[in-house]
Amino acid sequence: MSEAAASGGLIEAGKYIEHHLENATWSAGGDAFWTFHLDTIGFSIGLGLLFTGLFWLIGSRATTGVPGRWQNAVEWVFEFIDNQVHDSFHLKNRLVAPLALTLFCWIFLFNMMDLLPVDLLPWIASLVSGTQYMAGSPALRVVPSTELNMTIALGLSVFLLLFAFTFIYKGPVGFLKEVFFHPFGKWLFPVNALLWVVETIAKPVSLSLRLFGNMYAGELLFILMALTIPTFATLDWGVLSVLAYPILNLAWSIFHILIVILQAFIFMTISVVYLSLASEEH
Amino acid sequence: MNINATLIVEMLTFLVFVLFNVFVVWPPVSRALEKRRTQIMEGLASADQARQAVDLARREGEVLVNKARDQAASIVRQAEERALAMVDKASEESRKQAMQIMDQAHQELQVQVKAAQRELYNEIAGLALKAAGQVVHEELDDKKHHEMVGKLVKSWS
Repeated sequence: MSEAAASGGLIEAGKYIEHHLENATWSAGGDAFWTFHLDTIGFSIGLGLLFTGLFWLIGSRATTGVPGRWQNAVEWVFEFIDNQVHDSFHLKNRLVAPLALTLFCWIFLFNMMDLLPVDLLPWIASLVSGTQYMAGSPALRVVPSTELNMTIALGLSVFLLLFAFTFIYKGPVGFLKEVFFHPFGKWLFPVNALLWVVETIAKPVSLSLRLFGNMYAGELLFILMALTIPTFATLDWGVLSVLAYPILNLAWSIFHILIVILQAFIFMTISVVYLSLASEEH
Repeated sequence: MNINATLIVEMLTFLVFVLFNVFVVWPPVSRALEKRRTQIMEGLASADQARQAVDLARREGEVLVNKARDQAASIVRQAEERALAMVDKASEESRKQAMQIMDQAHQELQVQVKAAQRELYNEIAGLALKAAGQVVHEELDDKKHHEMVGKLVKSWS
């Protein structure tokens, strides 16, 4: 391979990766902050509507008798979430279980988008917009949980709820006590306050970045593997040069199913645990 | 990769979905699950009760059957005894009656026999007297004649 071709290949690869990780944006003008990632917003709302709609449709027809197949599935998810919540959140609260349900299902569906072939939706987008794929076709980031805005939005929402729960369940005095007198007693209140700040900020940051990092890395791996297709094709490996990519992709996909479920589960469980810590005396 | 207004949109979206789930999606399913749980609990409890009731009924039934069997046996025994007694009594009575009838008949027979004897006696005595009178009319007086007949009759009886 000549140097030019190699560098050309590198540029191509860079473009390919970039294209997959770029957002479809719409800017309201003025400050750069008022930019909207249309793909993330669209996919997240669509996926949210998908599961809430499905649950609503099936749940509102729920019978107390023998449940049908769909109702069974919905009930299975509900009971799973309910058990998880009851395990860590012991107070009576109408919000926590549906919140956990939303977090789990929503993030699960985000992550599931990762299992679609990396080029499928961008390619469809190029067809719809009538442009040539990769050359001028609209950028499209398919997996909302590989988008930092999305994961931080979730983490920040949980963060705000933590404050709300502390105030509701412990009152302002309890909140101040938590900040200044914990864990080292009142004489070390500056240290306590500092620790509290670190601890409190760490919660949403770790929630957001854990999910983002896992999904972003997973998606990047799918993209990188897709890049190996031409390389394998040039190798003289017989059948393997054709099958190498599908095998790699399949292996990573199967492993990724675990991550998809695990990350959704972890986000939900840790959020519930945080809420429990915020509301219960410990 | 910049943080921008998408964050705000997603937070609002999240809020809307959570609220929708809290107020619309979760309650009916939760209610249905709770209701079914109580129904199942009630069903199990009533099944338990029914099983106990069946047990009790079976035991009671057994007691009743045993009682009835005992009663039937005692009735049969009683009936047998009574039948035996009746037969005994009947045979006793009939024997008595038969004896009575026989006695009566015997007595009647004797009475009749005696009557017949007396009649015969008188008739024979008359006849003999008549015959003897005709045969020995001349030689015998009334006194001798009676003595003879008396002797004769005595030898018959």
